[in-house]
Amino acid sequence: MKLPAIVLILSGFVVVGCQSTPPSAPPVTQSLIRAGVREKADGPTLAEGRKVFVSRCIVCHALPDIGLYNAARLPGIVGWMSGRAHLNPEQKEALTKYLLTVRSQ
Amino acid sequence: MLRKALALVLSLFLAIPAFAGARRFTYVYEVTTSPPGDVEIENWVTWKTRRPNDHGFNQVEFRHELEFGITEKFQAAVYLVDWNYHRGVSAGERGFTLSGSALELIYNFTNPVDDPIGFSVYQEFQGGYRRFESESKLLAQKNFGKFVTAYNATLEAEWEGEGLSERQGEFQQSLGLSYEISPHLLLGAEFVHEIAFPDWAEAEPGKFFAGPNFSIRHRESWVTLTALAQITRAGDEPDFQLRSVFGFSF
Repeated sequence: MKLPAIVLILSGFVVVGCQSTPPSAPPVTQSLIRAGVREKADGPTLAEGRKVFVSRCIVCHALPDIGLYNAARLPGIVGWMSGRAHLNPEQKEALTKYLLTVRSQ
Repeated sequence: MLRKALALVLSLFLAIPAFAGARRFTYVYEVTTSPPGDVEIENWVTWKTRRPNDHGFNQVEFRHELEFGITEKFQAAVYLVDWNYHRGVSAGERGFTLSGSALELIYNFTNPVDDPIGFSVYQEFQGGYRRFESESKLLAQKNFGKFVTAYNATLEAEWEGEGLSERQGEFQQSLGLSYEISPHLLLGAEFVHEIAFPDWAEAEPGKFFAGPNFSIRHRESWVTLTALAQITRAGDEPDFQLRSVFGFSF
C-alpha cells in the first residue's frame, strides 16, 4: 500500500517534470548571447545570471514573466531584492544583465 | 519582568529585515535552501485539539529555530528548544513539557525549476531528557510557474525512557500544493500520512490528515498557516491541528 502510493506520487512528478525549460527563464543560447552584446554581457555572465535567477529568486517567489516589466525598472528591482537574496555584486550584475537581455528579445 | 522581556523580543523581531527563505508550507519542507550568509529565525506554533478518545485534549507546541545558509546547496539549522503546553485526560497532568533541542541539515541536489524534479535530503537529530530522535527525509519538489508541488518521505526513529530502552519508528509522507496568487499571498493545501511502528514491530493503522494553507508576505515579514483535520479516527491523534510558522532573516 505504501510503496505504490510513493511510486505513484513520484511518477507524477516525473511526468509533469518532463516539461521544457520554463518560459520565464530561457536558456543561454547563441541567439541570447548575441542579444547580450548590447548589455555588455558575455556567455558566462548570462549563464551565471540565469543560474542565480532559477536558484535564488525561487526561494521567495515564482519566476516572473520578464516581458511584463519595464526594462528601465529592472536594475532597481534587482537591487531592491538582492539584499534579501544575499547576492554579491557579481551575482547582482550578472542577474541584471541576464534579465535585461531576456527583456530585449 | 516577563512582559518587558516579551516586548524586547518582539521589538527586536519587528526591527529585523526579513523575507529570505519564506516558506510556502508548514508541514512539508521545500527543496530550496537558504542563500549562503543568510541567518534566519523561525518560530513555530502548533495547536492540537480534541482527540477521538479525549474531547478535552489541547496542546500548544512551540519551536524556535535558527537557520543558516552555509553554501549554495547546504543549510543547517538549530532548534534551540521545542516545548509545549498540554491539557486533557490523555495528556496526563496539565502543564509544560520540554522536548529538547535539535540539529537539522539539508543538502540540495537538483533544482525544482530547471531539472525534471528538485531533490534534497534532510537529516535531523534531536536530543532531550531520556530521549533521542533521528529523522531522515527525502524532499522532492516541482515548480510550474506560480504553482509549486512538494513531497516529503520521512523515516523517524525514536528512543526514550531509562537507558533509552523504549523505541519507536514512524514512516510519514506529506504532500503540499501551493499557488502564488500574488507575491504577497499564496494559497494551497497540505496532506500528511503517518504509519507508526511501536517497538519497530507491527505497523499501526495509518493516520491521514488534510487541510488548506496560506502564506502572507508583506514588506519584510512572512507568515504561513496550515489547518489540518484528521481524516482517519485514530484515538491518539488530534482531530484538528493548526500550525503557523513565521520567520525573520538578517
